[in-house]
Amino acid sequence: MILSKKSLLVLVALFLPILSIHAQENTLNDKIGVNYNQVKLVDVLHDLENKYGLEFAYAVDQLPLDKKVTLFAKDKKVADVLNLLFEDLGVTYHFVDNKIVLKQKRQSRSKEYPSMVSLSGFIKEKGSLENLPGASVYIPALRQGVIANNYGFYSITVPAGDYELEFSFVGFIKSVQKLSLHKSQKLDVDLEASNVLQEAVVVGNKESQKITEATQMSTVSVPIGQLQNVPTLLGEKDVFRVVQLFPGVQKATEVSSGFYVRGGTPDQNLVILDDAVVYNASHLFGFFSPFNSDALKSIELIKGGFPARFGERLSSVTVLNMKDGNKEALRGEAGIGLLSSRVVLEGPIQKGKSSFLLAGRRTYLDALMRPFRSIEEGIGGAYFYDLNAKYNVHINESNRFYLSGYFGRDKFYGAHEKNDSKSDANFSWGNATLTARWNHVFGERAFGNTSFIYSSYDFGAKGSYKTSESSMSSGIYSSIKDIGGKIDIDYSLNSNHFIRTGIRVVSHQFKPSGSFLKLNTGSTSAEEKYDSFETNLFLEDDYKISNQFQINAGLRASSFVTGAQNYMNLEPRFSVRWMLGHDLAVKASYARMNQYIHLLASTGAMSLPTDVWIPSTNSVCPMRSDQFVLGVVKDLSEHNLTLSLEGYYKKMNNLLSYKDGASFISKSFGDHSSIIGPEFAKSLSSGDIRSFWESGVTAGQGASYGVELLIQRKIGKFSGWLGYTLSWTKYQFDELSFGKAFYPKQDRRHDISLVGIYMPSPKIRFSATWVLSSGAPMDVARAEYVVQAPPGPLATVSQKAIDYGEKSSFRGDSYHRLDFAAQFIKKKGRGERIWELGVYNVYNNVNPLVYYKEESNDNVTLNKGSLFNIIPSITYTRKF
Amino acid sequence: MNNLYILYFAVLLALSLSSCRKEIAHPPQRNSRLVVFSYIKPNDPGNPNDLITVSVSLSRSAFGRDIGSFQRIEDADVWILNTSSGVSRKILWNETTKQYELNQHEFSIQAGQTYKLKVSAHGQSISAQTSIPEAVKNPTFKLLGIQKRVKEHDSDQYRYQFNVGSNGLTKMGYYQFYPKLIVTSPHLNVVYGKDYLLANDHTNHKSIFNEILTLNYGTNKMEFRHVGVFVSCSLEYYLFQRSAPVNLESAHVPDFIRPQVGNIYSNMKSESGELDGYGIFAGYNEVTVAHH
Repeated sequence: MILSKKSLLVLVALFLPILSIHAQENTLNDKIGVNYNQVKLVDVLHDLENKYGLEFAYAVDQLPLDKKVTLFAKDKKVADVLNLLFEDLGVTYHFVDNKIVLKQKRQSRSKEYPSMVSLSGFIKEKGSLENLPGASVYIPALRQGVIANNYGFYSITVPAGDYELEFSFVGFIKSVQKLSLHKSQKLDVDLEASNVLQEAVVVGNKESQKITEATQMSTVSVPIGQLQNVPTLLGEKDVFRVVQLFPGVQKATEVSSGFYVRGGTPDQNLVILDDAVVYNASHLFGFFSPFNSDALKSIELIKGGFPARFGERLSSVTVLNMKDGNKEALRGEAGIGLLSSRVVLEGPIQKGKSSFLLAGRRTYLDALMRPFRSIEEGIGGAYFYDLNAKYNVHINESNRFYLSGYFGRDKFYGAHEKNDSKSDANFSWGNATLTARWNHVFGERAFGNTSFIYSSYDFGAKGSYKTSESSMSSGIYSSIKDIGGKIDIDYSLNSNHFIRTGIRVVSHQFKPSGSFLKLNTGSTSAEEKYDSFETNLFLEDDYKISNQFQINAGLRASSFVTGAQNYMNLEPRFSVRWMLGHDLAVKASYARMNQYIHLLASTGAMSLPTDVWIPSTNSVCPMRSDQFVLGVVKDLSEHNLTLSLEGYYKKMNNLLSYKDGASFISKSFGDHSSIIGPEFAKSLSSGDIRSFWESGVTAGQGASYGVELLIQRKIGKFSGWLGYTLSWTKYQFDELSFGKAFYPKQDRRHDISLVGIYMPSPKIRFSATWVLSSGAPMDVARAEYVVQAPPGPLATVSQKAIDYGEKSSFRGDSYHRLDFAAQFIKKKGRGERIWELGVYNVYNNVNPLVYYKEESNDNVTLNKGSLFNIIPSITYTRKF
Repeated sequence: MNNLYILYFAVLLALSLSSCRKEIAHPPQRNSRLVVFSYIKPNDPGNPNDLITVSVSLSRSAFGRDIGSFQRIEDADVWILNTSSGVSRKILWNETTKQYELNQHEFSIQAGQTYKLKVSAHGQSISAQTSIPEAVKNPTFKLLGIQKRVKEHDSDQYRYQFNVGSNGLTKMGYYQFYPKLIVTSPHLNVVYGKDYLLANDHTNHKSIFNEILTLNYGTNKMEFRHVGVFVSCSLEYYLFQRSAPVNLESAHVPDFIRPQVGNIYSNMKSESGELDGYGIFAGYNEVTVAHH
């Protein structure tokens, strides 16, 4: 059954061009009826398009569009109607790529066939020459448009003619250019950032910003400007906390920037920064996102209908692009908050040609506390820092080079000295990525990117104890390291086909656990290591069948090799958009995803850095999901509003979970902490330890389904969105809960987010968010009893047992919170200063973080613990 | 500068004070239910006084006022029935051992037979059923070596490698194996190694590592012997053995860091067939092999 589905999709993708030729013939032979009495030609053409799905292409200045025509026909072929319509107007028509291309007859040439031409180039920000990924190019006369890729490159292929083109992007003033496109050419366009208050300026964007036009669905796109205005905890801007405010994306816990997407766990979310995978996307146990939002240019999260160019995770892909750096002038920004300070510096190296960006952030709680304690009393602290750096050079018209890196680290430390003894302990974890990219433009229609990528994540804990007579140090660690490359090609085949293809290869090195012990008398160490190799190939086609009907069909092939085990899978992808009217579209999609690497996550309220990344092995199979999405989208252009309603069903197989009682902590610090010495090393090298996690995990299946509503306004004095999700998620593991299905912790029945940003003047911005989500399912004891164990090992453990009822049968309290922020902006020289005052959890709700039991006298109570009640914050930012 | 510090720490203090707790008005609760444990195995020919034992007690709610203690029940009506032969016997309370006991010469337990246990007390009535599997045939138990480990506190840790197996394991059976160190001098003591549970296993021979922590008597004076215990399990016995350790070990782990934990398997059902009480009535068969 599965094979037949795959085959069908491949066949559809292969034979669609052939089918389209038949469609042309069929269209001309269709019988229609018309009745026009003194109606303008342009209106007749629109009417034929709307009523019969015909698609006309023409240059507006070449046809007598205002000429009134009279035509009556009943039950006639389309070809006959068109002949009647055009014979007195001196207009010829021809089919080109499913479009009926109209041209004025010329006296000198009795017959003329239009040729196709391409326009390509980069869309950039005026003033900084920053590329604008996601900017749109739109030709109203053809009702045809394209979106610039991650590097701001666009290519559009159209019939030769004179056109009016609109170049636009949210937050920028639309640029309208009249072009005579009779041969392929290149055109770079600079867009000027708009004052968002000038609604009249951006109203013109309506036509080109329609979500109804795009085939892609289930996508969250957050303008960076809007992200900077959303109120956050302690004024720390956090991209993931903003992403969590959209439907289908739910927070893991209040302290975590990890998130659940459509019933998936945080490890099923792929986070890509400048083509590099970031493995542990959080600082300080998840309190903060690892990314300094000042260094980011764009954020897009895809939660369904994945195009074939994305894969590797089951539930979502978040694509983040760092700013390239201002190529025109030196600019900067610095901010001081309660917990951290940040600075961004960008500028040209060679004006207009190359630039750099440096962005840094560090918390300073530890530094401020240091003067108050001495080493004898014991010092300790925690901090994190991150650094973004980027260099880019515009070599020539066809070649660009980018080098970017991200380095972030968290550290907890403590030290103590007394008499002749000295002890210290360190616990740290961090990400590092490095990406070198070369863009090459092949002619006017093709764009290629080649990337070399390094990414790593590691954590370690170590301690030492020294006296005058002895010394001892020990530690544990875990890491994952990727080295790889990818090549992507975008090709505008013609006005109806946009092809993307590419290959990605990556070598993973997993070290799920390692340890060392150094004593006076000697030392020992051991580590577990896996080398894996992952390859992905993809091909996808954006195929515009007609103005009403557009598809994105693709196929992704993936391979994962660990030791002797080789997994190979095909992942078909299919999305379709069907316009039901001018501003209304129905969309549907199917996507299969495979995930070859897994995160063994600790249970509990926080996502710990001790969560271990492991590969698929011969006993741990890759996870797989099949997701179906059906949605309807509506552009309410007159109000700058977009409305989206989507329903989804996602089936997941080979999900991985710890067995009951197993966790990294219990295994690493419990069972094996006492096993030190040469035998331990021997057991590790013999593979004995490997079984500790493989035998501690179990595989199961799950399903998630629900509906999501989003009403969004991205521009104007008042912007924001309302998101609502109604969803169910159920898991079933043979080895958990005696095989019964249960609701996992990411199951939330209702989730509502309301975000409002109001800018009454250029000097003041107000923003507020309100969130509400159903309580999470969990296991809470309902009864206790004493076990009478049989003779054997069990008789030696505690005999008090706990009954939790049905698994995950207890629902925590609902979570709801209101946040508010006000920004006061003042121009200072060529920059500005911003004071931001914020209040987190305005009405002081006690939101649950943990549940715990408390015994006092003769009463045993269940309590919920909350971390953040009402919290004010103040942040100062200076831009220069 | 000092004022800045004071301001900064005032804000941090406000933050730390802002975290708080709240009691849940309606925590999950369950009224006291009967808790019954009984494990039965065939008569040991070498021990004519083998007993069938049944412990009966009450559970208590996890939350609330006066949740009570885990009291043993003396006045329960306890019956055992051989469902094949229809023979049944009442099992009586023993005040000394605080459990219900029946000598096996009064009621024989045999491999291949199915038994039912019924317990009624405090207005509740529950029952459970189990079968006795055949004993493991031709078990082998070989001690391959002993390695002394790092000394920890007052005990020495030894690592044992055993080769265990049998020609008689069936693919659809459930088995348990564990080594036992019986110290006979200077004091009688029994130390258990880690147990291995096998279900539908296709491998009849396994090489197993085991650690046994022995008390530091001084190896010269200590007399001991190794015993391998092979258990054929009924499904109930197997599911109980598989689910109980995690639950029992985690009972004292703080809620905040407790890994996910499941319930202990129970087959105690009410008259209507619903799982109503706690505990297990499970049959098993065991063979021991000594290694001197």
